[in-house]
Amino acid sequence: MRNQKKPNAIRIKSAERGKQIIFYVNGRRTKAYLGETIHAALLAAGYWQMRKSKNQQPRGVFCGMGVCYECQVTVNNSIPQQACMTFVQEGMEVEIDDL
Amino acid sequence: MTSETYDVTIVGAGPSGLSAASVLSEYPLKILLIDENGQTGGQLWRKPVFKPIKKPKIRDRLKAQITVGTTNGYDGQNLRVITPACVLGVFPENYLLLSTADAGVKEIKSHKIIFSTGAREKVRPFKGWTLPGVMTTGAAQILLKTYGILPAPEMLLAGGGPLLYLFASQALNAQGKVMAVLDRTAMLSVFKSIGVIAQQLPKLGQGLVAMGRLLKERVPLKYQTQVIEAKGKNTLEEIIAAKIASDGTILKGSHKRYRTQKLICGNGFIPNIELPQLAGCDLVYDTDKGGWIVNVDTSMETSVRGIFATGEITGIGGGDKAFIEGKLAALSILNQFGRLKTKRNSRQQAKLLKKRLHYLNFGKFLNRQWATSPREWDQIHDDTIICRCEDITLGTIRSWIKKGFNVVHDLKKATRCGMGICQGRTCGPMIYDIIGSYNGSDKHFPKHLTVRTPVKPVFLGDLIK
Repeated sequence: MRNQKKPNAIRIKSAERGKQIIFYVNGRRTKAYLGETIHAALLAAGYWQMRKSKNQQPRGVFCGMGVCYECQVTVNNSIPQQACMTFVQEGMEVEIDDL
Repeated sequence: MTSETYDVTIVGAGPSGLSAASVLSEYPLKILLIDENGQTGGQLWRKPVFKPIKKPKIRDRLKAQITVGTTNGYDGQNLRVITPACVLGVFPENYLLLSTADAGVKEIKSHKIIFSTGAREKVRPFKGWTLPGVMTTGAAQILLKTYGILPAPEMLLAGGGPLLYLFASQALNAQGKVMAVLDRTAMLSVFKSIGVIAQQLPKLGQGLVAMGRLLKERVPLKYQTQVIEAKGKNTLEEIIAAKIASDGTILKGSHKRYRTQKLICGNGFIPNIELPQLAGCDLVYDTDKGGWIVNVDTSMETSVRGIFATGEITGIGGGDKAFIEGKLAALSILNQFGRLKTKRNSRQQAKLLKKRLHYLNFGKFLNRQWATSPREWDQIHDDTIICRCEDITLGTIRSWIKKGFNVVHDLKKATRCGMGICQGRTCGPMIYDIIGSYNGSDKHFPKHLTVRTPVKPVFLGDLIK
């Protein structure tokens, strides 16, 4: 479950962003901007744990550049993708394993 | 599967690749420039996806010298840019298997290849480093500079500078709070580094500005301080740091707790040598250059004829070195194609090589700072995860080494370390360090862990198509 007390990553104010879109995180409506990657949008929405490791340990964003494969999330009920290398789209369904 | 032929293929469109492409595209050659990211620029020159309302004041003098277009598609008569595209394999006589986003898998035949695949971040592991909330300086910088997102309202920074100080000042400029900067090196090193960095005035200026900002905001700067544990239930809640002596000994009673939910850490860089290795290029283990690097001569050619390596993969040395080497490789290729008079090439080459030496020295200084001594490895907790993909701890690795599995390839087979989805990119460099510590020397390494196609995970369906 999303930890309500955790500080989110913050979108800086002095920026003109792409079109605002809605995507879904475990079914919940979540705001993002076109041009952002899934990992950026998830962190800004307060989701830090993205999956569990082989021994069920919590994992999230580590390298942020496609090397470590820790940020894998399920996209559109299909294949797992690296959240930091995949861009958000309108209506995208992202499943994270954070229970 | 489509098949295409090029005169030169440049793998990696960071400062090095773009520098080579700029020189080569002036000549009537068929050039392909690719990058696994959706845009060119590599890590150093990532473009923001947002428009900053305030225009940045600093002009990148290297970037200003790039003459090629950087968008996907054809640039003039000679250059083709494909991003994202990932090289899955390299085969004899310069064949590349390329996976592209919209055109499936392609077979590329290229007379000359330049590998400019850059580097990835290195972290000194500690117990709990896998908790969400712990991320690398690179990850933090990408979030801030590319996506305009501050990783957290308040962050604790730790590791080996100078990137740490740079990010700290960037975070402050974005209205973020920096709890403290825990530098594992000695304060004396900071002054020593000024001497080395002074050879590159722009860097010195940049460093002083960053430091000034930190001092102005009264950000606590701690030296010879290393994070030894990260604690938290499902995400980071607390960090424990301790003083570390120059030989790597953790000083008893020097532990301090920091209540934080975001730790940004980094301790150097690792060259991405996987593709050149697959291509059969000789590697050499040189700790002054960042570990395993591609062995090149002064023309940037590797041990395989027609294959060149440039940038961080020939030695960690930053963007300036990468830029120069891209140029050197391009000039060598032009010479080999008979497009440049040898005399003129030698003069240009000599000038560039002299500059290159400066940056190699800078790199040497930094790589030494980023080294983890055997004494220090001895004190890292058994419960520390080393292979994140397979959840293998340092304790497990130690027990197998003691059983006699003290050669990298044997250790991999015994523990599964390096067999996970990241293909040993995160744990690999640590394993060499650990084994080196155990054997008492890094001079007894056989080869780098074997690299096989596909070099990055790919779906079977995409390969079959």
